Amino acid sequence: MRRVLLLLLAGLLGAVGLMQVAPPPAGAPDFGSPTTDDPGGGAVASPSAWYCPWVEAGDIVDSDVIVVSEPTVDVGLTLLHPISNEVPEFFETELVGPGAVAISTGGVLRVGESPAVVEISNGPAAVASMQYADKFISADQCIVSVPKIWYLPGGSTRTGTITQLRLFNPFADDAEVTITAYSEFGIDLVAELDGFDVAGRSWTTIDLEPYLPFRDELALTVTATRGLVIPALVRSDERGEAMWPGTGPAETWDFPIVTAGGLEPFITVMSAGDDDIVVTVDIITPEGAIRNAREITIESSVPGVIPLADLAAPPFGVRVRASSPIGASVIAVVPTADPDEVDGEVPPVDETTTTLDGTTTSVPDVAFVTGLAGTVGLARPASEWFVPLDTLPDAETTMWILNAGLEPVSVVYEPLGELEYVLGEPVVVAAESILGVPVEVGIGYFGYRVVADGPVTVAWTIHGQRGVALVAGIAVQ
Amino acid sequence: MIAVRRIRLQNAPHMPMTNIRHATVAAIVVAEGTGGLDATMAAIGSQVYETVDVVTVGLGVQGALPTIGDAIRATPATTDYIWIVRAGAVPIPDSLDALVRDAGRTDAGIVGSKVVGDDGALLSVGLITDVFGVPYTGLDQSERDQGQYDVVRDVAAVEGTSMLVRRDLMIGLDGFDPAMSAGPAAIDLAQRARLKGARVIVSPAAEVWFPKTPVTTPRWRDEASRIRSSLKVYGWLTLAWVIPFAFLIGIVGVLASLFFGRWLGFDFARSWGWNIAKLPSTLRLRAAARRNRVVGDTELFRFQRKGSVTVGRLVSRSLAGLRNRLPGDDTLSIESIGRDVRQPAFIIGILAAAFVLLSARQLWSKGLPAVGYTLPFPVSGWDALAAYAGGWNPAGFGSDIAIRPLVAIAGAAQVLTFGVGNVSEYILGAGAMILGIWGMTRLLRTWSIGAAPALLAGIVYVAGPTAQGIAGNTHIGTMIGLGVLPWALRMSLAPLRDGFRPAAGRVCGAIAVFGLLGAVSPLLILAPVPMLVLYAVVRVSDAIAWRAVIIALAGTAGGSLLLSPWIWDHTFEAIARAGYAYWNVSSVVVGAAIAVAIAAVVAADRARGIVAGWGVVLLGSGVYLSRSGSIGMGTETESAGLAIAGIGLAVAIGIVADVIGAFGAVRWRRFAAGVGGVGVVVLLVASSVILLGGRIGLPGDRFTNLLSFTLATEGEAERSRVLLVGPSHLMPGDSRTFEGGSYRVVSAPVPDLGEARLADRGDLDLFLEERLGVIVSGETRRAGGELAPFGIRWIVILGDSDGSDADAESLAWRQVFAGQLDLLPLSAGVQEAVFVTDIDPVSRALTSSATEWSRDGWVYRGAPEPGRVFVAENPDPRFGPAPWRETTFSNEVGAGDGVVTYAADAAERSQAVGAALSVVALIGVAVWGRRSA
Repeated sequence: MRRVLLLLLAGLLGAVGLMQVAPPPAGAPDFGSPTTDDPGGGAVASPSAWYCPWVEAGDIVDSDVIVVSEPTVDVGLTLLHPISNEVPEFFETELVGPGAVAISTGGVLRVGESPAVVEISNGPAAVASMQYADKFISADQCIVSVPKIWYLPGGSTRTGTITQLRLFNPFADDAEVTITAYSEFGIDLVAELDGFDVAGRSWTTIDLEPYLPFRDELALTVTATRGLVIPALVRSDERGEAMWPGTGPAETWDFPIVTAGGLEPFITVMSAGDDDIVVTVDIITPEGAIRNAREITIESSVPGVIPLADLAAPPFGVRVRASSPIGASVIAVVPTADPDEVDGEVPPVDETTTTLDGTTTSVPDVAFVTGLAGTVGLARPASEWFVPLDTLPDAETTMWILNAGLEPVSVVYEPLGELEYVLGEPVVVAAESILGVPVEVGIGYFGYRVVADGPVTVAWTIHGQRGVALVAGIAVQ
Repeated sequence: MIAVRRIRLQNAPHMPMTNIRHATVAAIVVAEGTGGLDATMAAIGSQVYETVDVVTVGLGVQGALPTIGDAIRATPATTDYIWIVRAGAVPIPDSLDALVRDAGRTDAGIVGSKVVGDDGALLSVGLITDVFGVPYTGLDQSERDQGQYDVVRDVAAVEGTSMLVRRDLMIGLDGFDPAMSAGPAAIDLAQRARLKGARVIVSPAAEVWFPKTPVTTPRWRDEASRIRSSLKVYGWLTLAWVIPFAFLIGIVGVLASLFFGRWLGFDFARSWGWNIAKLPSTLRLRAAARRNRVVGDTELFRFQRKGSVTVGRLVSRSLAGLRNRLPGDDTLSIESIGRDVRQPAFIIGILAAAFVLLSARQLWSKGLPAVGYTLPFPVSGWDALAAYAGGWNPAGFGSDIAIRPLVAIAGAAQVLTFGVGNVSEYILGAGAMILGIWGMTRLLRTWSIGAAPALLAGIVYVAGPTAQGIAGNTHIGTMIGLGVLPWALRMSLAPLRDGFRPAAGRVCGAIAVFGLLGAVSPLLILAPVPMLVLYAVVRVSDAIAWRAVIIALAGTAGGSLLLSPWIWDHTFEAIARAGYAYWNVSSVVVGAAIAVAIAAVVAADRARGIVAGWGVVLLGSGVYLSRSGSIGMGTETESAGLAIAGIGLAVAIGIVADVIGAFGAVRWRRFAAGVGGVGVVVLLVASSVILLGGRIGLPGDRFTNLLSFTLATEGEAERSRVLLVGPSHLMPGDSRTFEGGSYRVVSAPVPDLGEARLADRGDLDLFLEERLGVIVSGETRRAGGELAPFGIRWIVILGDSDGSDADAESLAWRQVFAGQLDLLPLSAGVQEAVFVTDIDPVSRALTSSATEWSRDGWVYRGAPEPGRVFVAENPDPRFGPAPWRETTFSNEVGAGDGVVTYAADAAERSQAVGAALSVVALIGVAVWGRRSA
């Protein structure tokens, strides 16, 4: 009997034991994602790191990295070395806020191409970079947020045009990316660009012509399957060079200015989905808006190019609206010459700029239009912006404010530099209009802080004998 | 001028120092109470070469002097030779004449006789020894004297039965070592004489008859004397390998003695303990022995045999035993094999030993694998012992919380084995298996279960599914505890003679064994009491069972106190609840275990059926505990439960196997046992799985190779730490969590056992968490700079962090560190994703002039300098040299001494020393009590 009882007791204990459940599977930690769906990113009130993929300082080209900040911050500039295994060059400075500073990268490291990382100890702050030479200028904002898929429309490999894709991996880990090309022929499959490796703390520049020759329109997506990269598209021809970074997708894109230096602007768009997309362009001039100025339908696998020059006289900005998220950029090229004109020469352009006091100034006529410009759009209007900008003695720098809304907006813009500047008086940007603010050259302005009582978007341009650059502003979040 | 050169010819036979015609000899007869004195005296008196004096030595002999030393001094100073004769020896009439003649002819300092037994068998014609001083006659047993060795020759030593020694040499050597037993003392004298340049020869013509007498000297004393002799005569270089090898051979002898008669464990411990106690006098005598020596160790080696006589004898004995057990022409029958199985089984014992040796082979060559909670033993055993005794707990960023006693045991093992190779890990790992098998045979003997079934049960106990479950948890302490647990039960249950002395010995032994059990696996110390209470309940009328409960209670209470100071810093509940207990067991094993359990209860007779019932309840309870994570129990509870289940299963297996082999069992019971036997076979097959790995069931090494990249640059590993991130089950030992992700900091190149268990978070741990928060949130992209103050040079992402099947946690951590600007990926020779900081310098201990100090053992050392040194450990004012200051949640101390010290907690050190002394005293009382039994 005792044995039976013991056997039953053992059986009971064993059975209960065997019925116990396994531990629940451990979940992944919630560290947040290093990538974001935010197409633009912005200046936030915390430390930040900005990535400037196209910085160069050599015997011909110089670069400035422009930093604006509201609080006093420590700014750390890291310039990667083009020679493998060389320790990156690091430069640190303090920026008294609110203020702005332009750091000449040639003073830190002059070895040619050397992408930069700018670390700022507090925020909000923003960074842009500008490269220039005697016959060349390009600039754009640096990148602070990293989308999962980068969209880079606006390339071309037509005869005489070179498009390069720069993949900048400033991080520790090696990255592997898949580059998908779209052209007027649809999706261009390039095996060499599938599973492309970019070593940690390095960069690579891919000339797209050998892979995708004779594409009038070329758009790219860059998807990181491992690690992170910061891509930028560089397009150049005999007249100049333009550079713009990748972005995420959005349904609305604002371009506060698309015309500068007499160049002929185009909007290039690419679908971020699988369906055909209806894209509508609104033209916004200083005098008002032309809604639905142009509407096209693009296929999911074919980028679209929307000419703008025939829609309004410069200057004007653009709002692009799409039925689904798209990637968009503006590209401005030298107008196509008439057949009977001498190659490379175009008629002088009557370009005017409307300033805040309502006067109109004319840029001196030039006999030879140079430049190639491009930039990314702004996905969301905001009421506060940072505009890191730069000036050159022989070029005009202008800040542009676009109010696409139906109500006028009162705007205060505060010049930022290494000195203390007087806060400007509020100005009103009329509904559905743009306003250009010329920047005084040579007095130490390296940026603006723009505060409005309504949503606006801001950009800046620089143009002169060296060329033209269109640069998007950076929203304060 | 005539040049005179003094030449010393050591082997010059024609240059006698003494005129033999006038050599005077005094005889010393050593009487040891064995009789034969009269015959010896008569034989001396009838020598043709007369002695000038005869002195008798021996206690209890009328007119005799107490010691040989006294006798030597009592001989006339003019005497040339001393003839030492053992009482009972009968020299033939011209023995002394031959001795004196050969001594003079060969200029020998010591001359020995040929010793012949009273049955005509040769007993000695001089001795050859091995390097450890173990004598070897080279004679077969009962080899007759036919003059086959009658040649005067040099030998290593001569028997003390009859030896002629030059008196001036004897005085110069200060005679025999009185602390040593007779045989080794004679060899010791010869060795010391040879160091001084004297020849030692044997004179076959000096024949002595001596009756064969049983050896009366304790075995341990002979061994102890040999160790002492080695320490006295050899140079340091020789000692550096002779002593460790002597120790190892002793261990081998102890292990082999499990199968050859009396167990030698106590003899082994006593011989080494005796030498430790006698070390001061040994060193003093060593100085005298080696002072003015004219030859070196090489001269001693000339007369020694290669290899170890002890090992040779063991091998011969094993082969002889095996040969006897192998079926011959007249024994090849199933019946003879069956007889072996039913009897205390030599073959199964050999197979069990072979099983253990094969199961632990990788431990010998590679040591313990570094995986989970099983980590290599600390390199410096003294550091581990010091850490346990109130020192600094080195796990993570350190703590003043006492380290686990297992680490102290590992440290002690390292000290005792001189840190040679992986010997200590092998001894504890393989030794625990042997101890477990042996303990199970002893435990099952409680219920008269034969040795063969018990050995089978023991094999399943130490290697079966339950043991594999513990090994899977990498709880090396509990695995060692498997070897101790049956002994704890046996100590409680074994028969006990009446009287205070046996009882005191038993209780003290139980306390020591329970203390050891708790030291290796804290929860296991709590297991025997409920197990034995259950046993007493099922055998309610058995007084022995209730007495066992009392002994176990005393053992648990006393054993717990032996865990001081560790036990005062920890709670059993916290240990029991850490982790999640869930033993993943296969249905085949469950089925086999059920078959064995039912068969054991049903097939056995009534008395053993109840024991089987107790066993299967233990099995069921253990299984329940091992899967009790849902009620809050942790992995150490799982392992303890598996150990209990293992005991229960082994009891059932032993009973089933015993019933199968028993004669006269009722047929249906044999049938039931046969069904259970199938289960036993299945479990034995399952047990044999551990043979494949050769790591006593432990998983393969994970961290030795994984972290070997830290050795790429010399010195970096000793200066730096590694941050491991990833799933907690891949971590070495404990880990911490941050926002759902696991991490921990370890030493390079591989964490040792002292780092397995993390203490509560200190200030530096909290600071690291804060900085991790900054890194994870993306507030900084300079993780290298953030981690450098902690001495962290490398970050290793454990688990698959790449590709579509990547582990989610590994991937999350990788994304954190992949996006940093001051880290570099390592790609060459790494198994997992590894990042290295490009911050310089990075060091666990960094001086104010940025000089990196290294970790030597568990101590930081570096070049002394006048400034300060910053030590990245949790802040503790006991760090020195003074003045101590807390800086950035770590320590800042003086760098002038070139070493960072830690002042041990005096109370904890006292407790640890007290516990160690108590263990010695308990063992002493246990031995004392056992001897009376």
